[in-house]
Amino acid sequence: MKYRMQKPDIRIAAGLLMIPAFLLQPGLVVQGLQVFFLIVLAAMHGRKIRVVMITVVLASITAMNLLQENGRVLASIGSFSITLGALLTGLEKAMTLIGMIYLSQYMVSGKPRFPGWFGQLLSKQFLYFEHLVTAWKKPEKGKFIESLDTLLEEMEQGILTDEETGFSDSHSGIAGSRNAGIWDFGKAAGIVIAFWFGSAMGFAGIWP
Amino acid sequence: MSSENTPVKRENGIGSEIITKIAILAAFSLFLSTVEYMIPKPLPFLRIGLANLPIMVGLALFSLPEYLILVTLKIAGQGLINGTLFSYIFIYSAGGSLASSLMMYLLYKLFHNKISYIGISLVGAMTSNSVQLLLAQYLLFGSSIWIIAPPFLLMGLVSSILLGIFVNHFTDRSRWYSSALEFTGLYGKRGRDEISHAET
Repeated sequence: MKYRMQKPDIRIAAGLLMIPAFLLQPGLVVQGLQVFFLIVLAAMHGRKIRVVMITVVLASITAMNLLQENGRVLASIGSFSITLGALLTGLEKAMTLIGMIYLSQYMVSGKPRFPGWFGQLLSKQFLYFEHLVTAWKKPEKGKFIESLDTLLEEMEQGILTDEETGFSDSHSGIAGSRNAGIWDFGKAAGIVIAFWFGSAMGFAGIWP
Repeated sequence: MSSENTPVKRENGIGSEIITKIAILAAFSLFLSTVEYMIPKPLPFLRIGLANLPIMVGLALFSLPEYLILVTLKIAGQGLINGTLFSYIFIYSAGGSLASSLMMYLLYKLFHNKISYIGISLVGAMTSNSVQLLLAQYLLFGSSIWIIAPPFLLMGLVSSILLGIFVNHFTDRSRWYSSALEFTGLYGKRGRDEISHAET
């Protein structure tokens, strides 16, 4: 899809630039809009929107914070009071968590290849992982360890060469054409500027 | 067993066979983490800790730097697969995994012939859960997190005992493990006992 960025490292850079604008945001409404923006961004890059997870995280963190009463009492249920300060703190923390999860998902959605020795080792791990996922079959009853052994031995005996695992080549961590890079850079710049513009409205107190 | 008391040569830092073993166990950890991800849980924060199985298997196989590479790969791999690499969740995962792995490694090195994998798993899970509760207190929930501490710790207790039983079983019966143990040559008395047990 054309709106997707092809270059994983540009997504990481864009995400890193958005983190301060998100974490330092004082306004709850702006933060809510930012979370919505980040969810849409992650969804556009192939990540699933998990409504149940969002609801559970939002409800559980807010509920836990409500137990620490703080500020004006909004309502009371028996001896338990729902206070404004606790409610706002809970919502802020929950939205920060949800926003960071989706920002993180957007950043790693392009299967980034990290540079250096450790990056190559990570690639090797993922190739073995893909082999495990595709080769794993439901074991016969009572033969779980034997099935596991077979798989581990297959990997050990070199079903994947160093070349396949990327352990011998020096990759740059950049995939795709030069043009894709220029377009991606433009899209990333647009996203980061729009995100910071929204944040600036919150910092300046123009938006709550 | 020619290599029984001779550690394998680790030229240029870490040998490629060792690297392969680390990558295989790290991939296995990722695989188990994905399996766990598919198991429905009442709360997203509750974990069984299946991904710690390869970490425990690695206790007898690797030196501390190699073991830390395995743990780092597990943490980074999980962060990438679940997309949480740049989020708070990653801090929980990294904090819990690192603390529990170091504690398990220390226990294994100091008391490997006095403590079973069940005990090691139990201590690892309690360490991991305690660190995660502390992080949750400071990052998200505040002191009310301790309300959910009992079920959280109880879940860790039960799952870690089951995991420890499985690791005991695996290290006793696995062909791959006994050949890896023989190859790495880092084991102490318990490791040799494990090999002779597997051979008989």
